[in-house]
Amino acid sequence: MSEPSEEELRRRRVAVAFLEDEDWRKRNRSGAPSKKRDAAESKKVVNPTPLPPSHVSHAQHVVIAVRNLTIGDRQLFNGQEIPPDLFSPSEIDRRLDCGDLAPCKTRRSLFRLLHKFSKCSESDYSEEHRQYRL
Amino acid sequence: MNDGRLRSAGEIAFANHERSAFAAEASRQEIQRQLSIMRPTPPALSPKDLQLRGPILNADYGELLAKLDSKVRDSRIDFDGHKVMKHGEDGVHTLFSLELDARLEPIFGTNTDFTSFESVARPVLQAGAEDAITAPRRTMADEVAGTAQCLDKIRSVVSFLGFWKFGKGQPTAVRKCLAFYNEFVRLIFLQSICTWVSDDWRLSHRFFCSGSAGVKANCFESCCLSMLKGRHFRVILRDALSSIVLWLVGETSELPNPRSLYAEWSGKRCISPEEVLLSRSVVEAYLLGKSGWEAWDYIGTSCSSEPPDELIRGTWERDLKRRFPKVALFWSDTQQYFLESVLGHPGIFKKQSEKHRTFIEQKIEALRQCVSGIAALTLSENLPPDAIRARFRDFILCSGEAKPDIDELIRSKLVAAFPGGVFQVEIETL
Repeated sequence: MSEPSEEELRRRRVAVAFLEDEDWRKRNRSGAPSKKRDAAESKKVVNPTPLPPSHVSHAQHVVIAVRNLTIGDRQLFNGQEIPPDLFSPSEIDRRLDCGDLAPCKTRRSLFRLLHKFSKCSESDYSEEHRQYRL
Repeated sequence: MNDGRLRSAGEIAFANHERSAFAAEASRQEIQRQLSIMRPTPPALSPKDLQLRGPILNADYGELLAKLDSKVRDSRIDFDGHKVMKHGEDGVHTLFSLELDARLEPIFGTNTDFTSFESVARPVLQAGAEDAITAPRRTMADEVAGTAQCLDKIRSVVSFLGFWKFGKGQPTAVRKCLAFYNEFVRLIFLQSICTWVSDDWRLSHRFFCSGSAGVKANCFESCCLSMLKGRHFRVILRDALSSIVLWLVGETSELPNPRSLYAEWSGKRCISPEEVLLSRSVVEAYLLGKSGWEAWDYIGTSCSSEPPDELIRGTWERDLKRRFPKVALFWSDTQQYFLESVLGHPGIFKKQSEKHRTFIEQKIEALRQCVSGIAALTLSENLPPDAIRARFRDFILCSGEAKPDIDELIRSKLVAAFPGGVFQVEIETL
């Protein structure tokens, strides 16, 4: 049996990729890849698969409630800061996706600023700490 | 002038001559008037020539006070850790409820950070609070003439300290923001104490030995005195500023009780603590030579609220001038030492009001520190060693029990150092 030609090998690689990559198959079902079609399809995605919690960092900003919520025996009001240790990161992500919570980059966390009294594991410092310290 | 008949050339010439003579006389009088204004009434004096009264102190006063401060620095204040943490945790709950309350105001959004002045000031300004500030803007005439520059300073709001000035435009929002911020600062200070205390909740720091005053001393007074472990008392030097100024100007009239003074001014019988503070601030403003909008600024900042209209109308100032005439004289007399020659002209002077005020206020501050030092030294002579735990400008914190006559003793020492002065010394058991 003669060895496959270069053209044959290329066709086989494409076929394997075709079978393995469903997404590639979708994108190439009508021939060559199109940037316009890619952009159109990415806009259609309404609920993307949530990223693993490790990809999201809430250390730098405050998470606030954007509506009045009752979680267990705790009531959270619109605009109220969520204690950093109240929810697990995955729970925060889920609620962020649901629209119950929202990150707020313009506010400083009172829990972190007053970490000694709020029992927050994270801490933050502000100008007031420098101004009103002993 | 012209009665309808034709005048001869001679008459016309005579009338012209008369008019020019009148104009020359008027011009001469105007020049004389302007020269008399420009001529300085007081002689040109330098601040170095200003001789103010000074206290009579022992030769070793400075050395003794330095030793005492060093001892106080090494002594430790015992805090009740449980009370501190309880107070802090309760304070955080209060803070969050104050924040929620402030956030109910329609001008604030969920993005507003109540700990940041810029974040809070923006919506308040957008709501038009700046236009409602009671103090007027400088007029065009002022700006052209370069006068009334203090109005710009009085109207400016650059921190939470002057945030009360927006109170006329947005009264509820300003009140809530200030309530939140004051609680926040108190908790920050308390947290700072928690970081400095040792494991057994004892604390020594230079803050407690240098006659400290200001926001931090007020924070300590308002929240930390109830958290001390063991028996303590404090010696309060009540109205020391007023006593010192009255002594400095040589005023013999006794300082009236702020409560009765406010009752007299307002005609009310029930006087709230805020009104007592207002009355005290009004007297202090007058004694510090402030009047008009400067007094308005000082009193508002002291009370964190808009002063009443009576102050602007000058009703209270007139009463204080009647009671203490030497104070106004003192400020006008000492002003003569702070005059600046204008454009190098030897006869024309301009007042250096800011320099004058700074000089006198520094002198008053030094005398207040002196009062605190004399009181602390008297206590150290009459109390067990290490009994003094903290020396602030306006009070001294001691451990143990107060002797019954210690306030009289301090008063007599103060009168010996400030002859003719009237001082109020109070003992408060904590």
